[in-house]
Formats: sequence, structure tokens, C-alpha cells
Amino acid sequence: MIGRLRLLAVPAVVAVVVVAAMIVAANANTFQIILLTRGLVLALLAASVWFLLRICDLPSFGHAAFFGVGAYTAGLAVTRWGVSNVFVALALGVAVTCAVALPIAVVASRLRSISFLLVTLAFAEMLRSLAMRWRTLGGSDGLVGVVRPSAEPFRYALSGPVNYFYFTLAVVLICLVGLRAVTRSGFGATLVGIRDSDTRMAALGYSPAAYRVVAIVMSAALAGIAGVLHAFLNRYVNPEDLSPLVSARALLTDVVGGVPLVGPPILSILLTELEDTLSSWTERWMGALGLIYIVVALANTDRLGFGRLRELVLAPLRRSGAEPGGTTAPLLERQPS
Amino acid sequence: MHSTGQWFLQLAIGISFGLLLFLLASGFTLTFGLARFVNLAHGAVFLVAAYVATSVSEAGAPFPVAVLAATGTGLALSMLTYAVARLRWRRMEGDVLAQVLLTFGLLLVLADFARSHWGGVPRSVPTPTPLDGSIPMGGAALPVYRLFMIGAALVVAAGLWWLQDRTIFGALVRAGVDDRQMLEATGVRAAPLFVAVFALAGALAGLAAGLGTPVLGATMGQEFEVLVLALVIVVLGGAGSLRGAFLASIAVGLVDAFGKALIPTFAGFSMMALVVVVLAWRPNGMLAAVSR
Repeated sequence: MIGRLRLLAVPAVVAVVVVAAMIVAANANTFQIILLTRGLVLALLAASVWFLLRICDLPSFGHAAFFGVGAYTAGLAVTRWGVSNVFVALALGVAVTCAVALPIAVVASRLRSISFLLVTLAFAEMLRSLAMRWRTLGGSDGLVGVVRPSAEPFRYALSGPVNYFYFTLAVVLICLVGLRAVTRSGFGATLVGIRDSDTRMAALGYSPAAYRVVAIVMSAALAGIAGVLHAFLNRYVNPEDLSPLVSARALLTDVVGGVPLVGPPILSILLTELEDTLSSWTERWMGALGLIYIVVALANTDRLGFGRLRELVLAPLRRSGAEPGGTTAPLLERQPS
Repeated sequence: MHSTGQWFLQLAIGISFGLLLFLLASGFTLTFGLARFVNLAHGAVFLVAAYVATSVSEAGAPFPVAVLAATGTGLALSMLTYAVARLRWRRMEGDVLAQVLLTFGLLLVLADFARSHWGGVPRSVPTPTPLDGSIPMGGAALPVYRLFMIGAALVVAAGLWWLQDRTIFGALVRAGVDDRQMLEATGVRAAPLFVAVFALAGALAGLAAGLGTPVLGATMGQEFEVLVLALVIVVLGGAGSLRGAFLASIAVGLVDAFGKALIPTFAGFSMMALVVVVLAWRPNGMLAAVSR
């Protein structure tokens, strides 16, 4: 019975999200809708970081690099390359992001935990300094006039904030459902096996390094999609899209996280709202943001309720024996790194 | 890059900047090697110390006093970082993500403090008088201060080597880097060592910031700029290894100087290429001290 209910979990969650989005979109003003769209974009970024962090145990502090590459690709596509279709821009964004991510992935996949984190942070910062200096990319001004292209073959104009909100929602939901499918596939199970013991998986004939590279590039592609969406949301791109703040925000929501693929997105949206409130209250919002990081790091995040909530939801399922062991159970545990 | 003099100039710039980064990175690598603590706030410690040096110098104090003030600031801020981490040391120990979030938060707070206190504008310190000349060499002018920086950093590096290789304190730190549990089992308490290493790391970062002000000044954004170069040095040199950090810092300084001189726009690429080449050759860094 519960097993059959679990099959309906994804459509149910998607339906609830869509209904909630429609209610919000009908009642919110333009500014709030833009803010919410931004939250959704950052939720996708958080999900891409979550995938590497929890499925592969690779903490990335450099996803701003892939986010920024996606954003710059979208900006160049519209302003320089004459692209007029949003799906072409998305495809280009993914392609360029993957091309940039591949060499980084090959090097970084040889590193673990802290070295991985430091190297990804360093790569992102180097790309940012590149973007600041490179004239073609607009230097520190970035690219302006990134108009939203058409959504052919759909007869749907992206120009209005509400329309763009629904478009972003659709893309983000498709990506999240796809990511969920990947983590539950044989590929995802292999990644979890490699995370838990790469020597055993190597003995079974898998190549841990190759799997890690594929996982990193996949995660980068998702971040690139988020970057494309972000560029068209703001209608400009600038080097701050590559800033460590972008990477840190994703990591923060993933650490507080809770339910995989549900907690981090909700937190991303909340954090976006919070950042906006802070920046309207005080000019010292960066310091206030820093204090939030400090509090989260010092607080026992499992006690913030997210861990408890997760237990409340999952405990009945486990007791009834419907919770499958093997691949999914370890995904739900917090990793003692 | 027409004359040999230009090459010498870039060489001096690269080595002096590299050695400055060594002072910053050595503290980072020691805290990481001994306490397994990743301190991203190090970049902001450098920034605030540099700003303090400019203020002290502006108030009319001689240059050595400004450098001392920067060193003291670095020490104090590093102790502050340690004190905050100590609030929940149990949680911090072994949890890289908690450390990173905590120290990144501290970095933001300190950088924001610097922005509001000094107005976010770049400031600098005039080169102190006996060192403000230059030596003509092959069609270029070699600034004396760069040479002084190299000399001063080498003296500090030698002091660090002596401290690590020839004193009981150094022996304890090396033992702690190798195997902390064994060190503690022999009856040595690790906490005072941590305090000492954090203090040393902060003082070195402040010293680097102070010595660097005549050429680098103090600007917002520096906190990430120097932090990333220090991270590259730590990863390339091998975490916990001072000798590795020394080699890596010279490599990073030279790649930075020649990259900026030869291909100004794509200087970032040259640094990435260095990271890729070294890590492809030795994934654990050139001289890894921390066993995994």
C-alpha cells in the first residue's frame, strides 16, 4: 500500500508545488515574483551542489564557476551570437559549461574532501578574475542588454515576470525530478557505492575516477542551467555571478538541508527572501550574512528541526518495511565527513 | 618584455610576491596540518591588517611600527577566529563543512567591517625612505623595496624553519601533524599547541599584509585574491608541509607575475594551468605531510 503511495510521491509533490506557485503568482506583486524566481534558480544551483556533496561526498565551493559560465554563455548567445531561442541558449549553456567543467573535473576528481573544496574554490575565483579582465566579456561591468529570447516552438512569451516565473519553475522541476531519477538509478547506486568504498567498487570492476568525473560534469551542467536562467532573469551578467558568495549560499542550504531535494530548495527560497530583507534593512548586509553563516556553523543543524522533521516523515515508512534499504537509505543519512 | 632587465624585474616581482604569499600560506598550512582546521578567514585577516597598517602609517608612525601593528592585528584576529571555533570545537573537529561555513562567515564579517570602517576605498603606504630607490639593471629599474621584501621574507622563512626543525615547539608541532593521537597519548596537551599555531599563523598573515602595503596597498577584494593564491599554494605544496608551501609559493608568485606581464587578460588561465599540471603530476601536492 505504502509502496504504491511512494510511486505517487513525485507527481504529488510536483502538483502541490505547482498549485502553490499558482496561488502565489496570483497574489504576489512583480517584485516578489522576481525574487521568488531568483530563489528557484538558486534552488537548482543548491540541488547541483547537493548531488556532489551527498551522493559523491565531494564538497564543492566552486559551483559559482559553472553557474557563471552558464550565465555568461547565455549573455553572449543573445548579445553576440544572435541566438533567439531560449532552448538553444540553454543547450549552449549546458555545452559550454560541460566543456569548462571537464578539465576541472578531471583534476578535482583526484582530490578528496578539503582539497577538493579548496581547489574548486580556487578555480571559481580564477574564472572570476578572468571575467573581470576580459574585454569580450565586458570586464567588471559584465554584459548588459541580455533580452529574453523566444520559447519557440511553444507560443509562450517569456518577457513578463509571471511568465518567466512559470518557465523557470518548469525547468527547475524537470531538472529536480531528473536528478531524483538519476540518484535512484543504477548509476546513482554506483556513485553511492564509490562514495562508501571506492576500493571495493574498483575491485568490482568500476572505475571510481571516471564515475566521479561524470558526476562532477553532470552537476556542473545543472549549475550551468541555473546560470542561464539567472542571466535571463536579471537581463544582465556580471563577474559577481562567479563570486564565492554564490557557491557558499548553495553549500549553506545543503548543510542545513534536511529532506533531500526538498529541504535545500525551500531553504534557498527562504534565504533569497532573507537576503533581500537584510539588504533593504541595512547597508551592512554582508556582515549580517556572515553572522548567519557563523550561527549555522555553530548551531547543531540536526536540532534545527530539519533532522527531526525528516525522522517524523520517514519513521512510519521504515517501520512498515516499505523503505527500501540499499541505495536510498544511505542517501538520507547525514554524512559524518 | 623586450630587455633582459624586464625579465629581471618580473623575476623580482614574482619572487617577492611569492614569498609574501608564503608567509600567508605557511600559517594556513600549519593550522590545517596540526589542527585539521581550514581557516578561510585568513584572507580577511590579511585585508584588515593591511588597512590597519595604512591607518597607522597615515597617523605619522614610522613604517616598522605600521608593520608591527599589522602583525599584532593579524595575531588578534586569528585568536578571535580560534576563540569562536572553540565555542563548538567538538562540532568543528572533523567537520570540514562546519569549519568552512564558520570561517567564511567570519571572512564576510571582517571584510564588511573593513568596508564600513575604511570606506571601501583603496589605500596605500608610501615606500619607506631608505628603500624607495631603484637599481638600474639592463634597461629596467629594479625597485629596492622588492629586494627588501625578498630579504625580509627569507629571514622570516629561515626563522620558521629554525622554529620547526630545531626547537621543542617545532618537534611537537611536527609530531602533531604526523599523528596527533599518538602525540596526545604521550601526555602532550594539544590545545596550547593549537593556540600557539593559530597565533603564529595570524601574526604571519599580518606581517605579510604589513610588508606588502607599499606595493599592494589595501583594497577590498584582496581578501579573496590573496586567499585563493594561498589555497593554491597549500594544495600544490601538500597540506601541512612548510617546504612544499615554500616551493609552491615561489612557483605561484612567478606564474602570477609572468602571467600578468605576458598575457594580462588571461593571467587567470596561467594559474589554472599550473594547478592542473601539478595536480595531474602529484594529486597530493608536491610534498604532502598529512597522511590520508
